[in-house]
Order: sequence, then structure tokens, then C-alpha cells
Amino acid sequence: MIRGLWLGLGLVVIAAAAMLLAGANPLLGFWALFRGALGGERQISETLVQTTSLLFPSLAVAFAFRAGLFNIGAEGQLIIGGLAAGVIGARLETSGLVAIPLLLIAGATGGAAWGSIAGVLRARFGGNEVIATLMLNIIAGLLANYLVVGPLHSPGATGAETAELPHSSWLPGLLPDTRLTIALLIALALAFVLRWVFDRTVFGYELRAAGDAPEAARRAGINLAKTAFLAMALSGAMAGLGGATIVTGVLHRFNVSLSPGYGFIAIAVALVGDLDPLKIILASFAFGILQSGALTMQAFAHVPKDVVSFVEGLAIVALAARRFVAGRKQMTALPQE
Amino acid sequence: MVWRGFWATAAFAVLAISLAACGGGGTTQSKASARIAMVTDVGGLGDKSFNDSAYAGLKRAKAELGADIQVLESKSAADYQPNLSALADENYDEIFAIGFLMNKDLAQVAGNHPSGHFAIIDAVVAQPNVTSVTFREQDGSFLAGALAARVSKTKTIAFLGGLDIPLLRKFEAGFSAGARQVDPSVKVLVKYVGSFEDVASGKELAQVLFGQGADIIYAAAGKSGIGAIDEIRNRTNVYGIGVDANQDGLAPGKILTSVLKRVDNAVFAIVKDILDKKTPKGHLEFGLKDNGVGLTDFQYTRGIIGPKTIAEVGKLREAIIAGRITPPQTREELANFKPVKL
Repeated sequence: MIRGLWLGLGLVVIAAAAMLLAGANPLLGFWALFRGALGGERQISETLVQTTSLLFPSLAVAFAFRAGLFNIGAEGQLIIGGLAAGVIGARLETSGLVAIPLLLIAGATGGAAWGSIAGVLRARFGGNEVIATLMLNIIAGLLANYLVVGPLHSPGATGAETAELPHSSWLPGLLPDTRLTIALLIALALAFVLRWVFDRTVFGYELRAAGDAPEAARRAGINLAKTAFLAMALSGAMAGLGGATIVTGVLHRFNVSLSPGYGFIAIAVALVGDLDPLKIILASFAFGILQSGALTMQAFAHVPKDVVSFVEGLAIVALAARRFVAGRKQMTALPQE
Repeated sequence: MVWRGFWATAAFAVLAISLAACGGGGTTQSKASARIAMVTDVGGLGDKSFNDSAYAGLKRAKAELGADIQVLESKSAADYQPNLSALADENYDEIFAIGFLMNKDLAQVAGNHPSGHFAIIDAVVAQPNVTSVTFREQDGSFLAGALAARVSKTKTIAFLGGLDIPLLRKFEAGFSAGARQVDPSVKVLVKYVGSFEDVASGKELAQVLFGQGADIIYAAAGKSGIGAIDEIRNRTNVYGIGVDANQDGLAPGKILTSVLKRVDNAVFAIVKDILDKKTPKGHLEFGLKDNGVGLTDFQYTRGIIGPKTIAEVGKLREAIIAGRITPPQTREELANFKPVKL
């Protein structure tokens, strides 16, 4: 985490340089970022909405990563989860006590199904989950578009989206007149549950063993194919649940462009958070600040919104490089131990 | 880098102060300027169509009326509401929501900011502080349909839409009715791509339509329509009709005309009303009369269309403006549309 702070500082410097190059004043830029993300009740609540939307896929990425799988398909799983919740939600008129859990489960199931495709390919045929999940992202977007415009079109929908969900199916809010809902609490609870699973359960131990030392795990009798499949399915379920909370809590309908790339930013968030569910909460909040402050930066300091994407991209590259370098060091160090 | 930033800041400060000083000069240009903002939909700036057209209107308002302008681009559908709220919090005089996809978000933000004023393009939000801007796309499309029916040799013309939604059906119904008006024997084929961004499918569907005997395609399909125009460019004896912006130059001599939808004019007109301190209207509908919609001037295709047809289209335009013809907006209205004797 200390290294994370250094990295954060480095990124701030690079961001300042990028703003200068883009012709904006960095001080004004950072001030706008702060004001836009934390400058008032509405701003803070929007930052927490972004934090929530990032936390689900970030936990999903971290979960798979712990099991040694690079799930870069959280975006697609989130879209499919959102699609499931939106399509069912737009047709469901019943009490919230029934509808909300049902829609969240539908989202998690949709995401799990989508994640399982890569899981099966990996477990059954040894297929590379990186390529599978990356490609499945594209398929998810196009499939969702086709379904909501075509066969699953809901009456009353105007564009590439479903009709609005009935009020009873909306996630209960935490603050009046904001978009902050109990989704935040669900995400936080999920983080704590994951921490517990990793630290205290046999299943969590098996996942970590499969990720850290697959050969040793296999010899110890852990079924690697099974853990790989379960890791991908559960990872997908978390991302899908996130999509369902965006649909039921933020947009109140499914729209094909419901995510600005949460599933990809999640990779950076998971890495910044050292794949530790509790640290990922903090990392999500940091990236949530970037996401919601970027708006104000664009508007009132004339910093192009691409500068934020640029910095996020740099964070991914820097962190991925760090991990790979660390991984290689470990490997070369092993024989001496 | 730091020095560059310092000089940039210093230069900016000097510029700002001098501008402020000029502002105090009391020329006719320097009347209290309006602060105007717009939120793009996820298509964003650079779409060569809708968002760019609205932005062109804002830039014109800046150049001619001295308005202070601001654009926020949306990265996802979840950005619409915070974008609109952020601008409303900054007390802009008018905030434009570009696109019907924002109607629910705008309704909510406008409700939360009763002292702010908003405008939305292509949707009607019935709130006292919102100006809804819609276009009579069916009128422009009607003229295009009449023109296509006259030019077609195979007596078969085609409509290629983006998404099969009520907004696009206005284009479809108007186009079909226009053809029926001048020649009821002309067949109008209708296909939808299912997307505004699928260039490859647009091209493929154009091939299908030509295969079914059409020789003119009216492509109202955003970027997908560019695919259709590409197919038209590679064939002989077939023509296209463009949409929204003037697309005649994309394939000179092969695009008969484009059905213009002047979002820029609408945006500009609203800004002008604000500066003139006129009471904002609840619903503005732009049509042929105020050049909100219309055809291009046939720069490359006068010879192909011929003066007789051009004159006939001109007459139809006048008849629509005079209210003697009411082009249909929906498929139901189209089914009941009968050619009007002029």
C-alpha cells in the first residue's frame, strides 16, 4: 500500500504533465477534480455511486486473480448481468421485497453464466481465459444491443435500452434526492465476505493455492479444473451483480452503454488494492473520485475527459508491469531458498 | 514544463483581464452575455451528425452572439444525470440535452433545479422550465420520397433506418407517403439495420435492397448509413439520399439530395431568444417553413433529377407549409394516407 501511495504520487505528476500538454492548468484541474468529487452532498454521493459501480467488478477481477486467472471480461459479465436484470425487471410488476432480490440474483446468474463460458473453456480444454474473456466482452455488448433492440424489445423503450423498471423494483436509496442506494452496502458486505472466504475457508485456501502454486496444489489433491471453473463463474457473478445494481439502482433501465468501462478500470482498481478485498474498497473510492471528478475537470478546467482515461491506463500498465517483474524475481529466487 | 505552465497561466491571466477590460467598453456586442451549455449523448463530439450539429449551433452562437459555451461529453448512460446536474449547479442560463435518450434524466434534473432552464432535442419533456425541440422529419422525408419516386427507373425505392423506433418511423412514413403522393405504383422497401454504428451491416443491407430491385436508397441510419453510401458509390445507375447533415459530397453525383435536420439552427434560435430576453417556449417544432428541416440544393444532381421534378418538389414543399398536405408520422397514419390533389 505504501508503494501504492508512491505510485499514486507518480500518477499525479504524470496527470499534471498531461493536463499541461492538453493546454489546461493542472492546479485548476486538480481543484476542479476535488470540487467535482467531494465538493458537496451531491458530489460525494455521486462519487460513492461510482465507487459502488467499480467495487463489484474490481472484487470480481481480484477474486479470479487470486485463483491465478486473469479475468479481463468483467465488463462483459457486468453487461450481461445488467441485461438480465433489465429485461426481467422491465416486465416484472410485483412487490419490491420479491422483485429486488430476484433481479439481483438474475444479474448475478447472468454474469456467472457469461463468466462460466471462459471457465469451461479453461477447465475443460485449457483455453486461455485472457483471450476468451476479452472476446466475450465484445460479444456481450453486441448481443445485448441485438436483444434489446430486437427479440427482447420492451414496449415503450425508445433506443437501445429496455423500458423503465417499475418504481417498486428500484433499489432503496440511502440519501434522499441522490442516486446512492443500498448497492453500496451490498458491495461493502461482499468485500468483507470475500476477505473471510480467502482467510478462513477451505475453498478460499484452495483458490489461493491454485493461484499461487498450481503444481503444488494439484499434487496436494486440489482439483485445478474445478477451482478454475468456480473462480470464473463466481467472478462473473460478482460483476453481473454489479451490472444489476446499476440497472436497478442508477439507471432504472438497462441501456447498452450503461458502463463507461467499469470492467476494465476494475483491473487497475484490483491491482492498486493488492487483490485484497478490503484495500480494494479504498482503491475503488480513489478511482471513484477520479471518475466523478473527471466531469467537473472537463467542464470547468477544460481538461479533456481523455486525460483521466489516460492516467487510468497508465496505472494499469505500471501495476501490471510491477506484478510481472515481482513474479519473475520470485521465480528466479525460488531455487536458492 | 513547469515554466511552460507558468507562462501559459500568466498569458491566460493577461488574456482574461484584457477580455474583461474590453467587455467594459460598452460596444453593442458586449451586452450581458449568456452562458450556454450542452451535454452530448454517448455518441459524443465527432459523430458528423447529431452532436456535431448541435455543437455547430453553439459555436455559431459564440461567434455571432458572444455566448459563453460549454460542452460536456457523456461516457455512458449513467453520465447523463450527473452531467446535467453539474451544469445546473453552475447556473448556466440554458442547458441543452442532446438526444431523446436523456429525457428521463432531464425531467429529474429539471425538477430538482426549478430555477434553471433546459432544452432537449428530439423528445418532449413536459415541465415548465424545459424547452422541448422536435423536428418534422416526416416533412423533409416526404419531399425526398416524392423526388426518389420520380427519379427511379425500376419503380422501386428503399428506406434504410437505424433503429426501428418511433423517431425513425417518422422518416419512414414521410418517405413512403411522398412516393405515394407522386406515383402510387412505386414500391417502397423498408429495412432497419438495428444500429446507428454498424457500417458493415449498412453496406450489406444496401446490397440486399439493390438485389430486390431498388435503385434509390434513403439511408437514415447514422454511421450505418455511411456503409450504404459506400455501396452506392461502387455501383452504377443507383442513387442514395443522405440524412441530417449535407452528405451530398460524400459521393458527388450519386447522392440525389440529403434530408437536412438543422439541430444547429434550433440551438442557435433558442440561444438568440435568451439573449433577446424572450420568454422560453415549452415546445418548439421545426419544419420546412423555418428551415428546421429541408432538402439540399442538388449541387451535384440537378441534371439527373431534371427541372420538372425539382419544380414539383418545390410545389409539394409549399403545399406542406400551407397545410394542404400533412405527411404521416407513424405507420398507422401512413396506412390511411391518400395522395392529395393539388
